[in-house]
Amino acid sequence: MTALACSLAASSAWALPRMSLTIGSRCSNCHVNPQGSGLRTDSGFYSTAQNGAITWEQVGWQKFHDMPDNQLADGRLTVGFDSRLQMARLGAPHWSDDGELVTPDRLVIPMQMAPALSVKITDWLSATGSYNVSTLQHSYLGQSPYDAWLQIKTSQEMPSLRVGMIQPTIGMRHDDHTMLLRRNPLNPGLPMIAPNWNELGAEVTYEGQHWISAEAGVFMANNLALSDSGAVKKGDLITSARLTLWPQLEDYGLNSWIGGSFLKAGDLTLVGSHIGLGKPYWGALQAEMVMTQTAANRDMLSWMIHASHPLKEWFVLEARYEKSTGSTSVANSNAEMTSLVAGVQFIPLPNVELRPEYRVLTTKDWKLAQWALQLHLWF
Amino acid sequence: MAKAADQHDLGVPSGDARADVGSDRREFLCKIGALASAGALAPLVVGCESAEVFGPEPVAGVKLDFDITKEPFKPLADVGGKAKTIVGGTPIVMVRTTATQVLAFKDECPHKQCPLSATGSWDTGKKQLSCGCHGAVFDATGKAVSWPKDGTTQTNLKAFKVTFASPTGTVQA
Ligand code: FES
Repeated sequence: MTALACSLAASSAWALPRMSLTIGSRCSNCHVNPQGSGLRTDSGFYSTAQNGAITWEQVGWQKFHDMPDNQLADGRLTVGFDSRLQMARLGAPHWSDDGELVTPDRLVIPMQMAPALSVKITDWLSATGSYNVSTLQHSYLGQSPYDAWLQIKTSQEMPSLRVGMIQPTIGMRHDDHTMLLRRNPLNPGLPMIAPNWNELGAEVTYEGQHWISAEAGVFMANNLALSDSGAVKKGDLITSARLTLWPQLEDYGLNSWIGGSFLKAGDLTLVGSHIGLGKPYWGALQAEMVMTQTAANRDMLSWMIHASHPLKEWFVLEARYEKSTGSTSVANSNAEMTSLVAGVQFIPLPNVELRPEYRVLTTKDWKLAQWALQLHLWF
Repeated sequence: MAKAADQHDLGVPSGDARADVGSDRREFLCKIGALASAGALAPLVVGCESAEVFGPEPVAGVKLDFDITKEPFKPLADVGGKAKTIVGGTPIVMVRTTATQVLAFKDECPHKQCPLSATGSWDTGKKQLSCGCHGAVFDATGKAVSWPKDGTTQTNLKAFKVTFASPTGTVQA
């Protein structure tokens, strides 16, 4: 069933929450990381290997087309690679010192170049890790260059435990760092939670029943203390939890989820909720909200609504609207950001994704409308 | 590698079935055509780009008197303290660097415009202001002494003239 589910989801190989909604399957069916993102399982690999406007076979790469999985040594090793480049104008329009209106330059930024490996040590113990080489050139404050964890998983029915450098599970994991959900409108240039955020700690995941999943973890703050230094200090304890229900309306072929998250770290308290509805070949509609508060009276509320519709498995239309507001009594200021993004996920060849997007970002001080392009290559 | 058979049992098309579908030459050419038209639309989309800054254009030469016993300048009572203000339409961050000195800079990091009033920290030992967003560092004159390695052009931070005799002073935009 997993292979079928992932095959239907093949419209993108990205760890996109909409895929899980469309097919009603867990991220862990296609990704080694139960949160989704990064290294693919053999099913995840297979499901994307033939999806593209043009297949590898059609361009004469028969061997690549026929590759059955991404495993070596009788399935003991799983290998993968993700690379993402973004071409966009980053930063804000502003007045130059000479009184000219300056539009930020369009730059090509390597966001990810990450080889990944998972080793099955025994039937119940595995080790997984990846290193994002692109962070050597460009990284955000609090962004972790690597993740690495040991996982104990005795069976699908039992909870599993991961220990190492992992991302505390909150909300849905969107591999798009331009989203407002984890940004700070009081400081638009710096994500409150950095992309590829990881901390040292342990997390338990339960996915034993098809209608419920739950995660709970304990971590030591290090990277969060860099990206949100106003609220979190190095060494602060992070506790996090997420609960998701997965109702399936089988008569209508609809999948859905509804859930909530909680995170406490130092002075920061975060509460979130996520809800979504999807149908195979039809698309997905999802909404998410994140509310944070600090002891120093910094309040933020961010929400987004996202719709996607596949015209073809390799050509998916999508649009989202986001809004983020924040206020702080210390500097006696408040801020607001809205973002409108419309674009396409286009897979010209299997393992190659192009994502042209039109983005309009507005704050109280400026507005920037631009086109941007993301290129994602993976194995 | 018995997976191909397993997947066929599960209803997933086998490799052969996929090859049949993919070999339709006409479909292949249509796809190429679709890609070419999408490419032709690109200049249209680029034409939709725009940038706006709200509020009036900053005016140079405007002066503002300040008093560190009064808001919003009270944080300047302590060395390392920062205050933000607007002079002639220019956002300004002021930093108390020593017992006798206050410096003023544009409250916009020249890298990606993070507000230094929120992200900047003054190192009293090195006499440098660093931006917490991506690590740019500026000396007391605003000269960039360290810059993120991301291909953007190293740019100095605009500094403004301040006269200060505690507890009052003047900043000139
Ligand atoms: S905005 Fe200041 S270093 Fe990037």
